[in-house]
Amino acid sequence: MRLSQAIHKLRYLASLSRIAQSLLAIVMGFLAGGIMLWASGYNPLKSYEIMFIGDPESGVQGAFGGYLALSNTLREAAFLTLTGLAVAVSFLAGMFNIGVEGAMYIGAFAAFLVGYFISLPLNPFTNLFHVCLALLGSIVAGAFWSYIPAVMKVKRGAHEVVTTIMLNYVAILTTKMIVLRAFLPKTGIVPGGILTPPISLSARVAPIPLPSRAELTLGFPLAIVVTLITYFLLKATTLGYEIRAVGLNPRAAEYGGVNVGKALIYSMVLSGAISGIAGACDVLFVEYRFNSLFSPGYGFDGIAVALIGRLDPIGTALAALFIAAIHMGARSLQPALGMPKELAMAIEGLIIIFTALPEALNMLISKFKGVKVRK
Amino acid sequence: MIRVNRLKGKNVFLALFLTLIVVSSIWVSYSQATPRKKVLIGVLFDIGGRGDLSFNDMAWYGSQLAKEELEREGYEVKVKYYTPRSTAEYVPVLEQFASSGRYAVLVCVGFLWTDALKTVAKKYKEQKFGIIDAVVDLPNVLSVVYRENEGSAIVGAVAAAVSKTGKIGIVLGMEIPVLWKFEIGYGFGAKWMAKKLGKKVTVYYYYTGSFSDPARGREAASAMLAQGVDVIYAAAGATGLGVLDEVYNRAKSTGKRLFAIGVDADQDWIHPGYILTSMRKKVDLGVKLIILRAVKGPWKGGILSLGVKEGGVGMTTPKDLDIWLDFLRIAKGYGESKLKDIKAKVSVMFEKYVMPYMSLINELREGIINGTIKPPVPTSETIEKLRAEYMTPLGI
Repeated sequence: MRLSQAIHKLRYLASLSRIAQSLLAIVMGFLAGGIMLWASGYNPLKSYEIMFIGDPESGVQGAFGGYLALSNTLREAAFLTLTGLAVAVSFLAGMFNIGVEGAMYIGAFAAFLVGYFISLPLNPFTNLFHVCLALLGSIVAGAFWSYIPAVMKVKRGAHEVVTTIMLNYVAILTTKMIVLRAFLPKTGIVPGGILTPPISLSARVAPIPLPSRAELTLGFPLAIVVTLITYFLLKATTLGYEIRAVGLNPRAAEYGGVNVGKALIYSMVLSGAISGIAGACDVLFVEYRFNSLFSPGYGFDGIAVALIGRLDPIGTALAALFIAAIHMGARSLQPALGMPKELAMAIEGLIIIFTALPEALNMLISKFKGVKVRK
Repeated sequence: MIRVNRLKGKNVFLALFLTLIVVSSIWVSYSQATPRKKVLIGVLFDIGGRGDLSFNDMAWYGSQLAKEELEREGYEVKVKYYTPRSTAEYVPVLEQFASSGRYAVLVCVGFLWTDALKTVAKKYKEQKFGIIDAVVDLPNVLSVVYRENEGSAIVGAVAAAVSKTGKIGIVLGMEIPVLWKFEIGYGFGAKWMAKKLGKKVTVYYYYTGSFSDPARGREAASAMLAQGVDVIYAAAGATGLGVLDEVYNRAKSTGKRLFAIGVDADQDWIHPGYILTSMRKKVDLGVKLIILRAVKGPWKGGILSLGVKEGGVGMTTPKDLDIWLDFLRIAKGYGESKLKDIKAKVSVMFEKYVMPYMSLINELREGIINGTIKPPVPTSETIEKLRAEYMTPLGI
């Protein structure tokens, strides 16, 4: 009796201190990065100052060191928030979904198709309508794409890690091929890119101007809205409850009357829909065309983001901001300190690994134990 | 009274004298203490960055040359470098540099920067930019391009002169208009030399479709060698490294007299004694000129075309090796004896096979410089006609 009470209390404490755990993980990450910086002959404090504030001598801004840098950080954070959420909703149901990158490409391509083949007379109403239509297209396409591995898992037991990784290749290379064959002749040769022609004016959303010639793309506000919707879906609806229940213990959930297959499929469809929105952000708000190389790996970074955010929507959004800041900040190290690109990337990776470690371990342990200990 | 006046006069004189000393000493100290004019320069490499012993390293070297020259003239120069990780970084990074307003000039190395530079240069009209190997038509951008057809004509002449079988070849990368300049220039130079020497030379060409696939370069070279080709010009970036390797391996294993010709950087050291020369494209000169013009003037946006006349392209001789041997010493840690050995092998080969034709090669060079000999610049309209005149396709 006493023992079980003690365990109960410990669990309660553990859940309370999850924020503290996350903060500790971040501190550990910076310590690890700092040791590497120090070992390579750089001053860690100075380096971190350059990463987040900037370097007056070379004039480069750190991640939060000025409007321009901030707008870049927020644009990156928007992509990472969305891919992080997409990963989180599938991981919550216990699906190890690596396919966010592919679903994002499919979503971006769908948004492009809607934006390119429909052209409306330009006024604020048609603009809003067209953009919403393109977003809807990306949601449907992304959701459908992630539905495929979900059905394969539920009906045939095909492991989602294998199918989603393979579907990434299919998505990225198929869209690239279509652009090469069907659109590149119209675009003309653009150095370093395989691009489509631009979408119609009515499907574009101009960025919000900030001081000193910086611009905030609409991706960030949209990402916040999607975060809140996801939060509501997961915490306040039956579907969200079922997804979480299946993730915690599928057998128990089934015993409790949850249709496990349905919950898995819904979680993947939701994940695909959010991935689709991430792709549409690039087409409708940033590049105004489909660039077959637009993502530097947002979908994969989303995994780290979701883990650092402890699979919680709000936590994921904060983690995305954190990772985006690390990404942006690491860029300043090269010109400011003459640091080689490779070392800057290694520091970045080290900080992210250490920060994501606790939740990753948590997931692995629970996977091996067969029962989730996460609340 | 008189005494007082005289004293006053003396005082005035003294005061004047003192003032003069003070003023002059202030002036001297001021002129000495005038801070040297500070200049900040940004160089943005192509993906890959330093250490390629080619394009990016040459760009770095060019910025160092400019720095040294400016420092001799009393500037205090700092150069900041950036190597992008992906194409997605191009615009935000370039904009970061431009928005700081501190850089005398930002040099973008490589044609991949074209689109990003167009976007950023339009927004930051007061910032000076330079780009290597591409044209960005904006008033604040100086675009440096090279007349590769001229340099290729010279190495084509070398190949035609040295060949014993009367069959030479060129292995190219992707078939894009820039590469036509290498192809037709090479054929033009070869035919020019063949006519001078009164021999018949066939010029085979083959497009591998890639700049980064040494295996395909090896295949193409192998097919050419099977046709009896004994000199191959590798104009295909990293794919060309496969060509150099194949020629070397075949020459070693069969004992035949086979040679390759390098491109862009001085590649003569890669297989010393088996690479006749390289068609050197001086990225370093381009970078240096952009920086000097931006800092000292006269600055004017537009296109700067560098050919044989400007020393922007040309063939390498053993004399040029020294800079590269320096790179090898630093980058690859080659020892002195190895470097000496490379230099000796290259010199012996050059002396034996190329020097006998040097006067003819120089005749072609002079002709190109003073405009009497004009290697054609192919366009999509003229390429077929020029090909029919100079080249023979290689069937694989």
